[in-house]
Amino acid sequence: MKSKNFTECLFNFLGDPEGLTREDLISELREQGIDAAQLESRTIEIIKRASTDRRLAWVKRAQEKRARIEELLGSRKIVKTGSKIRDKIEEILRGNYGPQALSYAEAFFRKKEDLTEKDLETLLQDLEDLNLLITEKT
Amino acid sequence: MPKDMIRELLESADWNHIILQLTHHASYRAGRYIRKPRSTGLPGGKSPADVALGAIEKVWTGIRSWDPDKYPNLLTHLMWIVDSDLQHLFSSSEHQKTGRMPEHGSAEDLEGERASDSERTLHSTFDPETPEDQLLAKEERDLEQKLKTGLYSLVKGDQDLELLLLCFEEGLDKPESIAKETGWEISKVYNLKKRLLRTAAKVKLFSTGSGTSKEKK
Repeated sequence: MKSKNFTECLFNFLGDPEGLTREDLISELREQGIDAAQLESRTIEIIKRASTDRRLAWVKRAQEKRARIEELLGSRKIVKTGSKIRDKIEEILRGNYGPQALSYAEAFFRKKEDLTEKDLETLLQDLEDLNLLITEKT
Repeated sequence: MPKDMIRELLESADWNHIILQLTHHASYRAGRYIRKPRSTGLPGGKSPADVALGAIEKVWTGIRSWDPDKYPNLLTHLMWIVDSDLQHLFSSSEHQKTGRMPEHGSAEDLEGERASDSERTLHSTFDPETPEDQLLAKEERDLEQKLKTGLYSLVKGDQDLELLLLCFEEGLDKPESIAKETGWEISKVYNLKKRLLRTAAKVKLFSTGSGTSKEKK
């Protein structure tokens, strides 16, 4: 490894903010034509926006999950069925019974183009047989 | 560490101070590239402040996520991102100008963290292989000589600053290693840094002779 030359050492040393106070930094940046107050306000703007996005990330995830469920249920020609069966399927697809039940149900949906009420009952029966519906809800 | 806790740590950080430290770092890191022969400044019309703000945004949005368990110092993590982004900016720009692939690894290789302090030298793109490279290397040496002459004449008679410049000649750039070699207290090294910053301002540090680099915004 080539050792660092004079210029690199000079820039590394001076560019390391360690040991410099806020006042030192403001004055140094001013020397370079950088307005510290403007810099701080741009930072606050970025953080406010990013913080809100981070806090609301769960909403986006929930919307995506909802859209996926709608897509799964909507893309299949599901016959009119009792609301209880549909509600239960929705809960499974929402992941309320855990990842294993969700994966099983998704695989089941992928295999079939048309779903009858009987198919949905079969799905629920399969899941019960596999003990995947007794998982405690989270 | 759970995401909520990382968010709380980010929210409680002193961003008004961090942005000053980070922009200062970005200016000098960019200065090392800008002081190259025929440099026209930061590519894409960006300023060091843009690069510093970009690093902060990347940490907040998770593009370059921060793992406090692995890297507890947030400022150090942000400085790594700045270094990586600047390296990427300049290597892309070098590639556009010469049509050659940069010789060092891409910025993505760093993954936000340097494996150790064994940083790559910025001279790896100027290994004198072709006549053009040889010419660039010579111009770079001339620039360095000009900088040294300017600095040594400004600090003439000041034994401490002269010794500090000699430390750079020896490849020392960390306050701790300089303190160890010279026998100075670390606080003295920091004070000398402040004095040298004021002195360096007189030699147009961020210029290759074609004007100074100024913040545009």
